[in-house]
Amino acid sequence: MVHADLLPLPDAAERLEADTIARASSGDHRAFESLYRAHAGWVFGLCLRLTGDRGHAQDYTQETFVAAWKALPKFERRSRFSSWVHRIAVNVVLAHRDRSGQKAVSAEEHAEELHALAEPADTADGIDLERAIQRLPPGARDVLVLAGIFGYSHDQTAEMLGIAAGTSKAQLHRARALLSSQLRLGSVPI
Amino acid sequence: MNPIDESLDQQLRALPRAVEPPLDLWPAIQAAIQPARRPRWPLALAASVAIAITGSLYTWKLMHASGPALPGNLVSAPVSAVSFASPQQPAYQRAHAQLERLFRERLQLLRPDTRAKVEANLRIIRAADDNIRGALENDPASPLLLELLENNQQQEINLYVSVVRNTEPALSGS
Repeated sequence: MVHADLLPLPDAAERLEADTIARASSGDHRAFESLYRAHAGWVFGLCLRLTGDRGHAQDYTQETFVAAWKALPKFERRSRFSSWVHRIAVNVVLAHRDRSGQKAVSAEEHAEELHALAEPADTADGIDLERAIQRLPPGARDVLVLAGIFGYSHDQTAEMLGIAAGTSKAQLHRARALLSSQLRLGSVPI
Repeated sequence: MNPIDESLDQQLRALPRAVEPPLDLWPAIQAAIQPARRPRWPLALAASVAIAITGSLYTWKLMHASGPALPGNLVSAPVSAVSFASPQQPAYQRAHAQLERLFRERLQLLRPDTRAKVEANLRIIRAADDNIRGALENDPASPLLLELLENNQQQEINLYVSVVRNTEPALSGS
């Protein structure tokens, strides 16, 4: 599964973003603000789904962009800026989770809020799915968010989470099975 | 993939990936990044290049006191006056390229065994650079890795400058 964000940008857009990155890494705050404006929604969406907590997601989004600013002079465009900044966001979330020995699961009450914040408006199925995702155990949810929603490959997902690619596949299978069961799509052996 | 998985994947794909933060986080981010930026290693490179270029001019004067004019690439750039803000700035990259070119020229003046040693050191530095960059792929904002990269790149510059400096007496005596 590949989403638009991970596809190559058209040439003109790519050149524009490359120019913005170069200016930002030279210390241009306005250029960095445009990068923030272009990517904040994705980063916040990622942090929100990984944490299930709106306050944490805001803090981690902010932390991600501050860390990205500091690291930007070393960004070499081996990967897309979006993938690079998502990787930073995942590291920020995981570092906080490690530090706090955090529960990180099941903020069911946030699922509806998350859905309400998301655009465009969706059906009740979307609410159920968001709620079901928040109920998943953290390992399965992390993989589902990165591979299932954000479209990263198992290799990329595994690298970001510091797990083996095989574990990523197994966690996605588990996540699908749990979601299917919750959404009563049918039963799949876990 | 079975039909259940396909249906689920369709639903997952339909979820909006971007969720706008309820607050504009930019003012807080801007406040956090405002004082943090210091051009540490670019200045180190500027100093190194200034030293190297000065040495180069001196060398050329010795070698060509009554000979041809100085080559443009060594004469024209007032490198010591360049103010760098980032390694990605063209001025920084030009200065780096200029220093490396000078290093390559001077390397040929060393004894073969010494040259081999310098080249071996450079390979070690470059390999370390690749390793750190590889690690940064997974942890792009790690302060430790960023510092290691910066230190390693400064070592490369130091190596260039050492070679340039230490080839001066050999040339002037020739």
